[in-house]
Amino acid sequence: MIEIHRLSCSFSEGMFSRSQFMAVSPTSASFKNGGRYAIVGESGSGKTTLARMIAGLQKPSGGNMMIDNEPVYGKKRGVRKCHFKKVQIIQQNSASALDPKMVIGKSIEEPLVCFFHMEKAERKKRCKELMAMCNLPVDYYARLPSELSGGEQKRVAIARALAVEPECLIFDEATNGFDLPLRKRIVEEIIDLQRKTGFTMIFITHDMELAVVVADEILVMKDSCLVEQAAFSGDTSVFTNEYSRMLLMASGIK
Amino acid sequence: MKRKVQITAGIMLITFFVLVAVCAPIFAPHNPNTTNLAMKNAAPCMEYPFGCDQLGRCELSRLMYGARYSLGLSIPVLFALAVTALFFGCYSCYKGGIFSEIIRLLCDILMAFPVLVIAMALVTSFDSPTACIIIAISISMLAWFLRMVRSYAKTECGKEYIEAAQISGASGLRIVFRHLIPNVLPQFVVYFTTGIASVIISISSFAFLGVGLVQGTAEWGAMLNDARNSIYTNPSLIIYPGICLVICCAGFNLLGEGLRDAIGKEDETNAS
Repeated sequence: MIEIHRLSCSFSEGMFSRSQFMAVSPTSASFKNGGRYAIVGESGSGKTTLARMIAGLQKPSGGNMMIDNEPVYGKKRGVRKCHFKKVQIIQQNSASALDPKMVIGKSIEEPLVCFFHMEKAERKKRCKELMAMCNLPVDYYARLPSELSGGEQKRVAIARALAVEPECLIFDEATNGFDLPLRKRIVEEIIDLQRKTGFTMIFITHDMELAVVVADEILVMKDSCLVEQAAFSGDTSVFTNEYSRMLLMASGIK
Repeated sequence: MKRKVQITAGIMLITFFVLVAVCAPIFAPHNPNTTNLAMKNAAPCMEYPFGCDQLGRCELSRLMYGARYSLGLSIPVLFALAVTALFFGCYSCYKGGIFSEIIRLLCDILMAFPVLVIAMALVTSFDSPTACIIIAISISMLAWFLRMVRSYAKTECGKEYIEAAQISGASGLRIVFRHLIPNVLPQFVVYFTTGIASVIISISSFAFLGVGLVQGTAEWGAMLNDARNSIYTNPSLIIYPGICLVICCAGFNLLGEGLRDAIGKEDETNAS
């Protein structure tokens, strides 16, 4: 269970400027184990910053975050690695999230070395299992990221995140820039993986249509604030906020 | 095609000079320091293919041994410097904070002094001329290498794969060795090869000015200096070492340029 309590993030607007830009206003929410969540909002609404704070990549300016009732921020060394062990994030741009000089297999094996200290043979076996799980041909092991298509790169990133066996997996705009059939396939694969492995899924997207397909619970963000959190199961009346309803209308969901 | 020719020509020239330097004791027709005053300024003949210098020493042998100084000093020193610069440059960039600032400041200070000034200052405090040259080159080149590595590493550090490696649990050292250095290396190799050429010139200019090396040493720069006196009587003495210097540096520069084009091309194909 991941709980965030008044988590906020602000950036200074320049070295000599005292004014601060609020990327995420104090936000509270909770994510149950095995749940499927979507954070929806327009560009610049703070979804990615919130996701990065949950993933431990961005230090919050205020508030706290608990994973299984243990506070995550404010402690010292080693905590960050524990955080990454529990929460993984699939970055928006998979092409640049893979080391261009490292073969796919080695990229997927990296968490196996760093978190589990596996032996070489064991590592290779597990890597091939993960590749098969993410629908990647096993002979891709020795290929470089530049030799793969966008969808395949995304699958590699997912395989690498799954290698950690995290409790929670955050997908930051996972289907951005893909054509419709590929988008559909990737989403299906992600949902399938979630069912199989049971991780908590947080899907960041600006597309309400996609959010209602993948998630059981939808968090709507606007202008750095969380405006609504609602469990969605086909009935749009659960959304009471005007902005959420507008997003639904815009996506053609009635 | 053009870059292939450049790289091949560069490698061939470098191999030639390395072979000459390594095999100098085998192929050199005479001892480079044996004087034969009877043969002073002698014209090329069967025994002395390039003639003799103003003290009757075999010019060809001296040129061959001269390659040992230029290459033997510059390549190993620069290798050691490159390894140090790669590690500290990448690590400081990755870590950031005060460590990075100190390295940056150190580079700025060291770069303020020309290499010749450092060498002249060191001559008085070191007995060994070789040590003096090595230290002078190290001080000046390390700053440039570090600066270059840091600028490349800074760009790489901003890319998402470094963050992805952090999430994968990689430690700072692992990120430096497995991700940063392999990505910085191709661009750095280009700088490194052209760096060798400039160091060869530096070593020769030290010798030419008489900083460091003992007078009369068989070194291209020192030979140029010695030949100045006989510029009208025997100008070939000034031409031979000059040509050697130019061709040797051209070899490293050609290789560097060729590699630069090749890497640029590779980046273009990766991006598209």
